[in-house]
Amino acid sequence: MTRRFEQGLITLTRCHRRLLPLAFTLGIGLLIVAACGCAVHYRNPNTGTEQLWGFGQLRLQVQSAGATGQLAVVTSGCRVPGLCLDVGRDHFGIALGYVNRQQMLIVSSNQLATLEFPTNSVAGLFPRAANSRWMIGRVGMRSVRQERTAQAIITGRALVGLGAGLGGGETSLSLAMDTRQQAVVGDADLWLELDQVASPWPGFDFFTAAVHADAVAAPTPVKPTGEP
Amino acid sequence: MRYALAIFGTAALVLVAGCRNRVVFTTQTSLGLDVSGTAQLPNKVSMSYNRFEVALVPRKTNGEAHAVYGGLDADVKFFAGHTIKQTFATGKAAMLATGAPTNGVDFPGARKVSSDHPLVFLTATTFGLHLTAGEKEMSPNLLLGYRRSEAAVIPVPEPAQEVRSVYADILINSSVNTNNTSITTNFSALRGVRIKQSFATGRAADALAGTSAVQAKLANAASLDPRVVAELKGKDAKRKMVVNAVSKDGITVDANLLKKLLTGSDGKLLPQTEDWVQDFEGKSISDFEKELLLEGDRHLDVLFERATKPE
Repeated sequence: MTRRFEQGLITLTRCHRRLLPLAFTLGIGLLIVAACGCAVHYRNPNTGTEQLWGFGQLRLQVQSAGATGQLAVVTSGCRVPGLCLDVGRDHFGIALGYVNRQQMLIVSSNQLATLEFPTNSVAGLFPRAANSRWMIGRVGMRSVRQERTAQAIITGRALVGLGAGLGGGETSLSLAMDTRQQAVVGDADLWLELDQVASPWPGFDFFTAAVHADAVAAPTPVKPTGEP
Repeated sequence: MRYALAIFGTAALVLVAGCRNRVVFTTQTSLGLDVSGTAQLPNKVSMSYNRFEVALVPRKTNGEAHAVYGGLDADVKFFAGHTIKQTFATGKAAMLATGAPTNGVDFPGARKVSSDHPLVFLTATTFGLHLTAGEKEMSPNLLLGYRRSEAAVIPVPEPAQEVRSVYADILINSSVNTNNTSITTNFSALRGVRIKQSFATGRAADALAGTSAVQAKLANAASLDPRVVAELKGKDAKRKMVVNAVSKDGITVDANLLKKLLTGSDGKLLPQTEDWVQDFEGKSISDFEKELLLEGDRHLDVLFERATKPE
């Protein structure tokens, strides 16, 4: 009986020895992820609202798009390391690794009144400015609503690690280094110039990009002489 | 086969909903397992190094191709820096840049289309495992390996109409140093990537296409000698002069004026123009201009000479 018990212990120890490196790697991986942090990110494209609970960064930048001042460039971004739960009105996503999202909207200058730059607070107390800063707690901001009001929308998304998304045109599963940039020009008479100098990864940086945009006005119809 | 690959490769990229007809300029490099197709059947399975550049230009309902002018220049190295340059104009902008006649062409804006159809430009790099579910017009896709894609998509909401007026000048450069074969001098100061995008749509594209700088860029992208473009424009001016000479009201063709122009000093009509007087009497001058462009090109110099000769 004692012999059998000893044999069993030896077998178990051998198995453990084989599994030890794998368990160690997994443990280190989980520790890194836990150390990096986690966050829940909410965004509503209809209102331009973004909220981040946990550890991460929200950024908002506004600049004039041309000499006339009719158009403005509103750039927003969100970076989350570790575990990120992405929730929205029409989409849901989860990422384990590092997520970097940026969005540039070319909008009419009169839409800037509703902007709210990122503020950080813990449990709703003591709010303070948090633009471009890594923060813990709740960070919230309001960009411009993108549907129908934006003349052009440029979106950048980079992911390192495991990511899954459902809805919002991002129904996918990936374990990859993935970066993509999409420019959608909706206005019928727009001239847009965008010059980006970015690092090899993620390959885009809208916050340092030089932008020029001009909306060409419709020609005024010439009235026949004599018409009031 | 290449055409099919291009379509499915692009379909995997393009997230444009509600428009089947589109003008597409794309370039793609992939290495590894790349599967795409419909939800029921994978139409494309690639386990290799695959690279293609393609321009898809659909036909209008009358059989004519949409007006597209420009080109794509790619300098790609295996696992190294790449330089991709796309310069093109479509629709009225392409016609204005080349000096093609725009009379009688059904341009967007003349009629209302059902909904908005934006111009989309995509660039994407994936390294690893990526599985995309089919959504709207995007086909399901599985990638295990590396893929880099660029695509410019211009929807054609009304297939009977000319494609919308767009001018695009796109440069993506991840090379870090210049050399003799380089196609650009724009490099990233961060030794990363430089992305320069210039888009113009509608009237903005028309205005830009009229400038000599943009015309030179387009001619260069299309690998055309500027002298060829100049000749095309010269022909367009000649055609306009001839057309004006056969019309009294600037709208319809006058049979007498046309007959006079076609008849030489010997009293004979130009060869193979015997039916023109009968065919174009009272017709729109744009119809006559089209005939001049297609069948009457060989007589253009003679007709121009007669049209400009003082009475």
